[in-house]
Amino acid sequence: MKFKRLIARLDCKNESLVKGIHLEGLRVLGAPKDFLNLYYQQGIDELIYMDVVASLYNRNGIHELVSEAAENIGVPITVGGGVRSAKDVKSLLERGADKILLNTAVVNDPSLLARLVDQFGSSTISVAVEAIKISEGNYGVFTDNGREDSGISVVAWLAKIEELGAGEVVLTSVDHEGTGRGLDMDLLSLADGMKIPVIAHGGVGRYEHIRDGFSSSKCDGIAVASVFHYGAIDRDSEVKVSGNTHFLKSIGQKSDLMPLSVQECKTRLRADGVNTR
Amino acid sequence: MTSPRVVAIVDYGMGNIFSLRRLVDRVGFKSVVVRDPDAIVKSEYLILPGVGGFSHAASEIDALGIAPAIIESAQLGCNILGICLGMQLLCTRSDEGAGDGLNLISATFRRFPDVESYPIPQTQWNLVNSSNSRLLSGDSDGEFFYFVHSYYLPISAVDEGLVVHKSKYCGFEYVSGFEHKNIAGVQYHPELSGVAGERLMKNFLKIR
Repeated sequence: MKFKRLIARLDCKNESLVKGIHLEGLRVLGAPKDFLNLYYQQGIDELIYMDVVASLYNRNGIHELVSEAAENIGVPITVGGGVRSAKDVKSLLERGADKILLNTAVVNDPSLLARLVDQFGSSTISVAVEAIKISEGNYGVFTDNGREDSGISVVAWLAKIEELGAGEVVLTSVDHEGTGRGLDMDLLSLADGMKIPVIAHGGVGRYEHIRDGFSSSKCDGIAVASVFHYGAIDRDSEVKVSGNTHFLKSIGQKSDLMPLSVQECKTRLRADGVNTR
Repeated sequence: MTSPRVVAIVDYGMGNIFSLRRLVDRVGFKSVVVRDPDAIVKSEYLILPGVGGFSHAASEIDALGIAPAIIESAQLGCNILGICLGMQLLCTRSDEGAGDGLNLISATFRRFPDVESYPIPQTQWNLVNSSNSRLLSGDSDGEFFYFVHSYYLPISAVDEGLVVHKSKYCGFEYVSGFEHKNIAGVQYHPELSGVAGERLMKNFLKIR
């Protein structure tokens, strides 16, 4: 049987879960560990833990944070952000990561991808593809969290990473990310022919976007950030919110985001006929 | 008070044993990581973890010279659990490449065929069904476990009488686990399967 995977994505900066909101920059939401534990208890299928500034500043602060964050989690955790070498991969795996997500380093040197797959196995090595729409049906691959244009087309890069043995692809619409206007279905259709699993990311603002993503694309999983984070802040007192709570509470009115819990999402997906754990 | 039972996890350099150690901790046992023959032969519970390629793993085991120790501990009655690649290594060989498994279970792994809308590797939570299992509850609806693999054990490839766990992928059923006397193997990852994985590990560590 095929079962669709629901994935919570945590973008972290130093010791905090953050979220970029309408290109206004990063806002601090709280401690990643609290959110990871909550999603795990609510029945999330997988977790993605991204260090969003590591690539920019060329450092590796995430290594120390992963082992603490992963301590009580019993589902797969994919870790990414500034991973540049086999040494980085090994270090993260030893600290509790189950899969490693790479972007900038493998775009700059595709042979690194082949070497990592050879050493760690394809199931451990995932590639993050950050796509920006250039023109109708034409998307470009960006690195460094959507800041640098690689000049490579998404179609060509998806074929390349599959050939080099990546185990999975996380396909992000940089245009849709943080906007809550739904997944970019045109972008996802570019991955229709892939043999490796595809995780869709960027733009989920409400439950219906997740349902439609599963029913109208061939993606194997959907990575959700904001709507789960705001769901957690809304409803769960165990999640300690740092940062500007007044700002956070007002997000719902300011944008199209409808907070959602993992449990509610799963229950509704099953009711809507989506095969999921 | 008796000290907690010690679970030996064989480290042959193939990937991530962090999650597995954490699972053993969570169910209240102590784990040690072993890579020398003496420690392997002495252990009461032995887990062969593993992520990655069959050939590479077989040659690592060869290089460490631990295959005879694992086989001896199996003969001495040690309870052995192979996980994912570890399950494959308990068997004879794999289509994935050269190298010999431990041949404690006589069987060969095949690659999943290309079937529309079934990605390879299978990377998902899938249902596992079983009967007469000591590791699983035998729930008729099956239990969800997390899988990541490209090679599988066909039902026709194993001896009748082996207690098997079954799952379905690419449109057919295959062996997602087996139990034979003190030897068990599971294709899925209990250490990545939440509370279902905890139940399985507790059941494994109850076996005397």
